[in-house]
Amino acid sequence: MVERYLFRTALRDLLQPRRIAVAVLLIVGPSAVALIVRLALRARFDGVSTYGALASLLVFGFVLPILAVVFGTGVISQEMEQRTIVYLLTRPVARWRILLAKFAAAWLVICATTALATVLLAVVTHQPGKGSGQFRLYPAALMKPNDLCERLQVPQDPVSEYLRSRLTERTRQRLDMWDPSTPLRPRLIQGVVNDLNAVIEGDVHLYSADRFAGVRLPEDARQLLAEKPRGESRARLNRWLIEAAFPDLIPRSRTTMAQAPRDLLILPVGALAYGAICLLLATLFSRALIVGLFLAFGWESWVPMLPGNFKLVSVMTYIRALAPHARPETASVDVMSVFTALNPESVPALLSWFVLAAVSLGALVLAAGVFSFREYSPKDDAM
Amino acid sequence: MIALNRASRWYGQVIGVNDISCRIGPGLTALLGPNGAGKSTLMKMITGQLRPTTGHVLAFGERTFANARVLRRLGYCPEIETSYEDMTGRQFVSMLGVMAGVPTSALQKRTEEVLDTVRMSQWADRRIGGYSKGMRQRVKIAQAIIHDPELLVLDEPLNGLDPVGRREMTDLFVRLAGSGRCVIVSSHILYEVEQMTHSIILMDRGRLRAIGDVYQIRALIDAHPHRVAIQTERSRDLAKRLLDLSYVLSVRLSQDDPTQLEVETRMPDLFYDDLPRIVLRDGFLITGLDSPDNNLEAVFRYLVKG
Repeated sequence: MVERYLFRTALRDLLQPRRIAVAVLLIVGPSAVALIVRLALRARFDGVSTYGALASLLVFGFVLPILAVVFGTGVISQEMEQRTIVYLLTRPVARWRILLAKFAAAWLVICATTALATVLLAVVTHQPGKGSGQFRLYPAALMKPNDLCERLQVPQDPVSEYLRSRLTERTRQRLDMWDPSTPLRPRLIQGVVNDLNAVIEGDVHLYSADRFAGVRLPEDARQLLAEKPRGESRARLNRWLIEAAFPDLIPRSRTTMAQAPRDLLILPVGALAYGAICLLLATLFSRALIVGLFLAFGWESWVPMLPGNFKLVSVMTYIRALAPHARPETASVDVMSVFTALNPESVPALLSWFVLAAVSLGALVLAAGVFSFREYSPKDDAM
Repeated sequence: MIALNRASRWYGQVIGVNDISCRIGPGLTALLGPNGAGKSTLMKMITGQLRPTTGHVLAFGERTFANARVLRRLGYCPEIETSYEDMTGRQFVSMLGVMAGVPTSALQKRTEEVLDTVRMSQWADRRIGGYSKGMRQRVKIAQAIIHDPELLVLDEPLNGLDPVGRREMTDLFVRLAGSGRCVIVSSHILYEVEQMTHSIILMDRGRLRAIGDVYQIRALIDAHPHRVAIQTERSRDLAKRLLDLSYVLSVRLSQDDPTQLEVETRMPDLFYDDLPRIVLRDGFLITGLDSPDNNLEAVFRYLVKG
């Protein structure tokens, strides 16, 4: 009863008009940027890459941490600043219950805000018809079937060579008999597509570091690779690997609408982990907001990019491991990609779930413990 | 109800409460002392917000810090002026009522009762952010009494109230204390305290200076030479008249301002009775009247020296 009342009161406090205005800015921000990019690039606009880049950079990289810091630390800091904490601490309610009820409200607001930002971004970057969402190939969907057959007829790179070796004898014969100056016969292209689908659905040897040395793998593919996937995940990985090797020939399977649900699942997990850490900071430091901002935009931004295993002490590493995003292909080399190249290894999903659960639970228990035993008396009326 | 046993509280190098031992029972007790005397620190220890650095603070026989059993029987009105600015007075009182353990079934009725008790029913649906100081004080008192506590701790509860409000709230405290509750009220204004109770605890610089009946303290104050500064064009004539009074110890004319004179007396009450009579009889025009000793700080200085 008390918790429900505290939760409702905290929620009402968090949903004050001025706070809603800030939340709306954070919700609309990423999709506004996406809209500008879409209008500027017109036909060259790539919805999946733009969604991946903006979800990674703005939703996961900015909206989530800033909300976690502001609302997570605000659970106590605001009460301390307004000095209203004395009303709460002189009630016959266990302090940890007060803390967790208020935190639950803050967490819900963070989840709702990030979820709305994600959905809106997915809608703005969605391109109907682009991205099948399926792993199997279809002849009609191939972008340049002639070029693909040519690449498999006379392989010029290790990936093409491997794929040719996986074609059935009959398809290989048809391919060798085909004259590239003549139109493709439907039976040939169907045979190539069937054989490639067999690779996509069951081949566990497609990837090798040497074979894909010259191919730039997107972050989500690298992450999936680290998980040694099976079944459907293996099919997804193989399709992504082939897409990466033949970016102009094989259509994208990724869709914005397919990525958004996964992000919507991971964002609350990230909000819980970050929020719990910020709550703990608030129980320990009087200037928790500053410490939280340093943590979110200093430590969390730079530590994962340091060489070696430094990334393992960053919460964002584990969040990103569970929600990897395809970045846009770019010819230019920026500072981030140089640092990222130092850490090509991805973190396994199971480890990420475990670490995030342990961090969330540990931080919440510690925060509840500290809040129960520490004195919180606004300083200026201490005497 | 409350027992303090050699309780001290330090803030780093600064001492807030210094080695206080006393017992406070049912009835109304005033905690009296100048600003910085340690009243609020003592109240925070009683209400379980602070732990004593040394010694013990017990309420109902139990240690008070974050003790839900004690807090269930305790109501607290803090000195702070800020509140949940976006809430209405009614929401504020209800929320703290729920947290204090008022059952949901009785919450609405009880909220209305206490809002009516502090005369705030009419303004209870307005945001606290728009309240005057006096209105804030009233809803603070309402939240402290909503769960009908046995022990009521009120930190400077009359601050910001107008004279009518002071009277109403003073009557309320006296009524609550009269029904067997222990009511502790802090104040730095002696006059205010005298309206409420005879039982006082006098604090200064963290120490307990006196505990007992207000009249005994008054007697000490009356024995303390009291200075009164008067401003009038005919300062010499008035000085001559005042020197005729047997209880006036001295009259000093100011070197800097010929219109200013300072009177020293051991019987300030009598002096304040006689002064208007003399002024009216002899037609003096008084342009200024001030008493540098008419405050608690001066009394404490005197008591401490004594």
